[in-house]
Amino acid sequence: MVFIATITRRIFSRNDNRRWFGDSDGKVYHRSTRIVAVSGDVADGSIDRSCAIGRKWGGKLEIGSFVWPRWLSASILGTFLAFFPVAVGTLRGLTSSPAAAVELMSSYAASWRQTLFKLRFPAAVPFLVPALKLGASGAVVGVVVAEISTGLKGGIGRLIIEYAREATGDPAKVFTAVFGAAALGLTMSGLVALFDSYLMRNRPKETST
Amino acid sequence: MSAAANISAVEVNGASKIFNSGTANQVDALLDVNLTIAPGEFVSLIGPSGCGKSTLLRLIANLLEPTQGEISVNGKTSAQARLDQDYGMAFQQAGLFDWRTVSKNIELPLELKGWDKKKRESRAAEMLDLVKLQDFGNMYPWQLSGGMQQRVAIARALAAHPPLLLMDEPFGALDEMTREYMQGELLRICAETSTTVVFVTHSIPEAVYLSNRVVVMSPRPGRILEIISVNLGSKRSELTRAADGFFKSITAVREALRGTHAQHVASTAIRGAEDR
Ligand SMILES: Nc1ncnc2c1ncn2[C@@H]1O[C@H](COP(=O)(O)OP(=O)(O)OP(=O)(O)O)[C@@H](O)[C@H]1O
Ligand SMILES: [Mg+2]
Repeated sequence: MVFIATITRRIFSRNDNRRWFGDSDGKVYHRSTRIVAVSGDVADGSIDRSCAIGRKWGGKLEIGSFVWPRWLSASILGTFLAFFPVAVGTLRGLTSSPAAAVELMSSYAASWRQTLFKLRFPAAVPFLVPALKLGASGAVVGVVVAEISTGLKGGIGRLIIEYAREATGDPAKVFTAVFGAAALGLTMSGLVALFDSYLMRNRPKETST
Repeated sequence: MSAAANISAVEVNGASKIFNSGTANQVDALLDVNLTIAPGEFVSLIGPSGCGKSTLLRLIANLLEPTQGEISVNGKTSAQARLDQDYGMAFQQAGLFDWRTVSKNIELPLELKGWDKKKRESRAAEMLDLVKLQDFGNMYPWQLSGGMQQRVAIARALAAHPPLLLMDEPFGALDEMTREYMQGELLRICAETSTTVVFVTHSIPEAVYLSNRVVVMSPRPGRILEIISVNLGSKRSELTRAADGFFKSITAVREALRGTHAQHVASTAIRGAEDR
């Protein structure tokens, strides 16, 4: 977990951890100024490519021959936020089987695997569904936030920044992006609800668990 | 009697069960229980709440290990009997799986034994006939009434044709009418399949109506106080409930239980006196 968190942080704070950056003119910048400079570059829309700092949005992380694609940062943060509700829900579900049912399985001399597949997994389903709902909305939030931080092109997060920039001229515009994000979130939970009604089609309509 | 009949269905030899032994909340649940059950016999366990009836049943089922003593089922150790699926079990709660249809619930023990689909389905249909639920195979348990669910649970317990059926207050949650109907059904099914039954109940008439022998147990630590033979013949019907022998046996069981009650009161009175 710490590993993932570190990776994410590193991705969002550029590709290296050097505190000081030099440019071709021999000027040296501190890391903190670099970020300011980058935002400044964006704010006036002209990125000075000769400048060593803020040459482009986001850095490139290379692991061996693997070049970190920029969308991967966003998907990792999305996954990260979706992971825990789903993992916790599933774990709770897997341990939720009534003691009597577990006893029944052992009275059938069922193996650990048989108990897992015939009892624990199906019994976990009602716990999985609310977890997926939380996870789906968490993933949307994660991705949008990651897009804002990395400025990934073609994402709602990027649109929010771009439209916010024009907010003085057209204050309503930024809301189109926000509503887009909301619509995406609703779509996701709608999909989960569909999946839910498919999974739960043969279950009692009023579950006591 | 043939040689096979000489092997008892259940043999409990000097079994004791102590929970949480050596800790502050130690419970002496069972003390030196001896019980031999012949094949085809119907035996009920009755006694005050907490006297260890369920514990004794779980020991026979090998869901618990005895602290002392030995238990054999069908001439094997209880552990081997469990692995060989020599018994089926039914509890107070039907305990059916919500996500399986009635048929699939009945097929569960067969699936676990690795039977193929065709064999499973024909056996499930056969069991549904037996419990008179032919038309309900494709429904889900939660669409059935409590009594129907209980019948499915019995069908499930009997699906693999085990020679022994262990039941823990299976009709406890049913109303009186359904209960009497189910008792009749159980006797019919067990006669048809010549199954040995160990049956835990709180109801004296139920124990007497069903059983060849009624085992009366004492309050904790559970011991066998008395074993009462019920001589009502093997063919029982609603008329049995009005027979003289029926009431005589009920009185006998009640007196045996009251004996335990009197003892219980006496022992608490003595304990109270000692405290003072
Ligand atoms: N797993 C366990 N751990 C500790 N104590 C237990 C356990 N199971 C049962 N006991 C204790 O053993 C005693 C006998 O319990 P048991 O369930 O066998 O009673 P019972 O005769 O079936 O009662 P009832 O008629 O109420 O079902 C009780 O005092 C109970 O507290
Ligand atoms: Mg009990």
